[in-house]
Formats: sequence, C-alpha cells, structure tokens
Amino acid sequence: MRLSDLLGADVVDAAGEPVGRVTDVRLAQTGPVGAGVLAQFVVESLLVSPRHTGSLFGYERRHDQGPALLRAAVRALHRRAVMIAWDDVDEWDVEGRRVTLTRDHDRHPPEVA
Amino acid sequence: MSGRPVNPRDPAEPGRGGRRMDAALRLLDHQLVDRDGRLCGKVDDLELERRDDGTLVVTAVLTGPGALGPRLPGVLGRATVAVWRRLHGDAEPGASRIPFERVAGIDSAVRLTMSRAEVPTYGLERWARDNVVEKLPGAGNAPE
Amino acid sequence: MKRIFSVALGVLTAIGGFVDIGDLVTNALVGARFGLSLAWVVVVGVLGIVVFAEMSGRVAAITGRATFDLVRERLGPRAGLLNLAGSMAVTGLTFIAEIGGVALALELVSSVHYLLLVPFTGLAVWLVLWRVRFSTLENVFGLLGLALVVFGFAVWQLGPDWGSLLDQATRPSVPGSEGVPTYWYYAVALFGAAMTPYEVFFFSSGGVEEHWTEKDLGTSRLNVFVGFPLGGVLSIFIASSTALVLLPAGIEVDTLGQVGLPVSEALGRVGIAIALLGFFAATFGAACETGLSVGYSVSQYFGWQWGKYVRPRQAALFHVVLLVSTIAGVAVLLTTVDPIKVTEYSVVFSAVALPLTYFPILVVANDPDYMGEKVNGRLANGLGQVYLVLVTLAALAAIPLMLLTKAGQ
Repeated sequence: MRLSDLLGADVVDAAGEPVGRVTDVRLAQTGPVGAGVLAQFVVESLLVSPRHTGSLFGYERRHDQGPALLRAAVRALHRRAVMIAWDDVDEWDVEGRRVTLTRDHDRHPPEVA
Repeated sequence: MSGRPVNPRDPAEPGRGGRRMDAALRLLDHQLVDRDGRLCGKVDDLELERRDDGTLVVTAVLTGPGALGPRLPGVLGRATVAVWRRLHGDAEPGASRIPFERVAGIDSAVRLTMSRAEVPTYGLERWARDNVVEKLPGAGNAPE
Repeated sequence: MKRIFSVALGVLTAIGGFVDIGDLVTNALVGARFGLSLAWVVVVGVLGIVVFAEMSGRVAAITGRATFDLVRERLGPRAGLLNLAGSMAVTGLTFIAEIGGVALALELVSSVHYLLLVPFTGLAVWLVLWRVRFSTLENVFGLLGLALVVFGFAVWQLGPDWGSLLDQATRPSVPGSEGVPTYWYYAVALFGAAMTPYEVFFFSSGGVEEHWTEKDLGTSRLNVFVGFPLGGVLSIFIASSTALVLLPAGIEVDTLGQVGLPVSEALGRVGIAIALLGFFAATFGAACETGLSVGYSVSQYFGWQWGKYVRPRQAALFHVVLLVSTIAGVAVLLTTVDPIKVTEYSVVFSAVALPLTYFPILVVANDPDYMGEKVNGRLANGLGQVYLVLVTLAALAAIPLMLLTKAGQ
C-alpha cells in the first residue's frame, strides 16, 4: 500500500455520507530509537477537505503564515477541512480509494502539527 | 551547506520522539540526499504497512518511474510504468524501495544513511556515466 | 576587486533576462517603433524580477533548494510536469535562439554566413558548459556583457533632447502609426521577458553552485539589487538609441546588425567594435544561462544530481541533458529557422510557466519551517502578491495578443 493510495481517497462516514477527500496524512514519530536512525513514523490522522482541489500548501497549519491574500484564499476554499484520527477509521478500501469512518468518529479543526 | 534544519520545533536529530509531520507537505516529492551529500532522486511515494494492531506504519521510501508513474495522469502515467517494466525485465518490478530505517534525517530534503550507488534507481545515472559521460574527454576532472 | 566579481551571478542572470538575442532585437525594435513609451514596462519588469529573484536566492541560501525543487514539492508531480514542459519549451527555444545569436554576432565580425558558424558556436557553448568553472563563466560573460553600456554612451553622444525623451518615458502614449493592441503585445512581451522563469531557475541554482549559506544573504541581495536594474538600464539604453536614430528615419529593426546602427552613427568604428563584443558576450552568456537552466529544471524535477560544482561524471544525467539539448539546438538551427523569430514564439509557453513558477517561490519564502526567521517581510509579500497577479494576467493575455496582432506586425 502506498501513500498515494490514501491521498485523494474519498472519505465517507458510517452511513455512507461523504465527508471529503484526503488531502494530507499526518505522521507521528514513535517506536524504538536506533543509533543514527529516525524513529518510526506511523499514520496518526488524516486531513480531509470537502473541496476537491488539492493541497492546502500548509496554510491550515498556521494562523499567521503569509502572504495574507494567499492564506485567506486557501483557507476560504478549504474552510470545512477537518482532521480525523486514524483510530476513527473503520475501513480503508485501497483499490476503491475509499475510507470509511466509524460511527462515533470525531472531527477536529486542522491544527499546527 | 544544503538543507540545514531551520525550525527548532522540528529537530532533525534521530531518535527524537513525538515529532509530527504532514506527509504530502514535508516528505512526498522532496529531494533525496545520500550520505555524501549527493542528490539521488525524489521521494516519489511512501510505502505503508498495516500492523496487526491496526496502526499504519511508513516502511519505505519509494522512488523512480515505478513509483512516480502511477501518480501521473492517464496515458503518461501508464506509459512511464510500462517503460520501467520493460527496462527492468522482472515480471512485476514495482518501485525502487529504500527501507525507512535508512533515513537519517528530514529537513527540506530527506537524508539517507546510504550512498546513492545503493539506491536501486542509480542504474540510469550509472548507465549515463559509463556510456556517455566517461566517453567524453575531461569527465573526471573537477571543473572546480 | 573581489566585490565586483561577487555580483557577477546577478549581472549574468540579468543579461540573459534583459539583453539576450531576443531582447536585443525587441528592445531595438520597440525603440524604433514606439520610442520610449514602453520604458515603464521595463521598470515594472525589473521590480518584479528583483522581488522574486531575491526570494529565490534567499530560499537557496537558507535551504539549499533551487527553485524547481520547490515547484515539484509544492505543486506536486503533475502540475510540476506541466511547468517543466512549459518552461522547457521557453528555455529550450531561447537556448536554441542564443546559439543562433552567438553565430549572428560572429557573422557581423567575420562576414561568414551565420549558418556555417552555428555548429561551431554550439560546440563552443557545450564545451564551456562541460568544462569551464561556474565562477569563471559568470565573471567572464557577466562582465564582458556589460560592454553593451556603449549604447548609453551612444545616446549621450547623440545629444538628444533630454526633455522630450523624458516626456516620452513618463507620459507614455501609443504612437500614431501603431495600434493599441500592438502596443500592449509589446508591453506583455517585454514584461514576460523581464520575468522569464529561467532567470530564477538560473539564479537560485547559481546560488547553490556557489554554496551560499545564511551568511551569504547579503551577497545574494547585492546580486539582485545590482544585476537586474543594470540589465534594465541596458535595455533602455538600446531602446533609446534606436528611438533617436531609427525612429525618425522610419527604419524598422529585424536583424542584429540594425541594432548596432545607432552606435556606429554616434561613436564610429570603436563604438561598433565594443558593441559587437557586447553582443557576443551577452548572447554567449545567455546561451550558458538557458542551457544550464534546461539541465537544472529537468534534473531538479527528477531529483538527479545536477550542477557544475561536482565533476561531470558525478552528474551524468545532467550533462547528458546539456549535450542532447545542444545537439538538438544546432540541428533545429540548421533547418534555417530564424533564431529571432523563435524567441518571439517562445513567449507563448511562458503563459504556463510564469504563474506555476512564481507561486511556489512565494509560498516557500513564507514557510517558517524552511526559512526560520528569514520569512518574507511585509514589503516582499505585498509586492510578491501584486506581481503574482500581474504575471498571471500577462500569461493569460500573451496568446490572445499574439494572435490578434500576428506577433506584433
């Protein structure tokens, strides 16, 4: 399975209602430490936006990143973007590019990593 | 010289736990740099593996036409993958894989613990070196 | 003395952007047809490229990433590939034109037909890209290209009515003999030429070639603030000289030889000799800039080792791209296509390349994870956003205007 299989996948809730598309995947560094080597990365949450146009270019992460007009435009386009924990994913249909969420999933506002 | 870590909140030292990054923003399509500082491709995709407890782990960096091809649209993408298969000879060559344990650090680029000669896609560069560049006078002399 | 050479990168980049073969002829043509009524476009263009070259130089110094790296990482591989196609078309066509331009400059000196010289100029350009040290390349062609300042002396010598020249420049109006769409076609063409993407590809990659780090931010800025205005000034000198000599006589410009007419009239044989040196150095320098930029862009998209700061055998694919481009360029020129016409049509591809190049630069220059404290200040952001809108408008207008005016007839 690849990251590119997850990016752009449709995200639906337990009832099958669309939530949006995966625009980015937040990784968290965990796991055992090796000498001279990075600790392991796991998928922690998904950034999901109802907007089909791609990236948020990082503007969802900060409240002050310039330039102002660009930030305003990107945030306006993606104003209903949410972060959903990987634990709240019930099923990932890789071939069908579809992620189904659990019944009681939480939607968080996008936040600084 | 290149790609020094800047943000103190994102230290590049190995082993530091708790660090978070957005994969498409900070990893995907970024430059790969080998242990000698030489450029050796881009992060064309990442390999994910599901563990028994349901966690999804990043297990490898994928690079080369086998990884980039599927991300390009339509005919172009299929053609890229087809050419890669033809050149590679195996039935299902997949993408060139760099195990994630070989990543030393991440800043504006992804730094590896290996030399670029060990990256599978180095074959094309090696071919160009041996068959074109070495045949021209002055190839090994430093312009600098 | 070292100080003078430290701005060579900026000067050379500007030469390739403002007085390469396409611009030499266009500026002369514009002066001969429109006087100085389009000088304001050069000023607007200089400011724009200064703003973005400063950003791209700063990013290269802090992160070691040249501009095309940023294009792929921020826009993704698909939009990145679209930009690569568009900017390779512009840069590649310009490279071909410059090889032809060097041959045209040598034709003026030797009276040998330029087509016979093309294989040799192609070989010479390739040899320089293959073996000559980057710093030598910038110093030699950057400084020799400044010989074009002779056009300024020619203007001085011609003893013009300064008041009327200033009036033309500051109160622009479309001359009676020209149509309004044609005026705007040349305005867009001059603006597009001033902000051509290969300037930032070359400048930022050059900064990496020179191993810039945070301590070189001052040098990077000096390069930008000296180099590009100087390039703009040279363009205006050329346009002024033809405005004074050719406009009243109704002579139109379409060859390199005609570009030099005002200098020969004002300063005689010595002046022309210096102008020819300037033509040769500027076109050769621009050939190096555009040739290297093709190599830089392709390599930076795919992640291949690039640059003259390593031995050729360590950047094999990069050098293969340079070799193939040069051979292809010579082949195209030998089909007798007019190298100057080639640059006019390349502006079409800028439509795609301009916005897709400047947008990632603006985003990255604001990214604190990359730039730390060295993110854009308010001035850079204010101007950056204005110019992003301007380049997008210019990109959209380029093709319709070209079709409407039949490329400025």
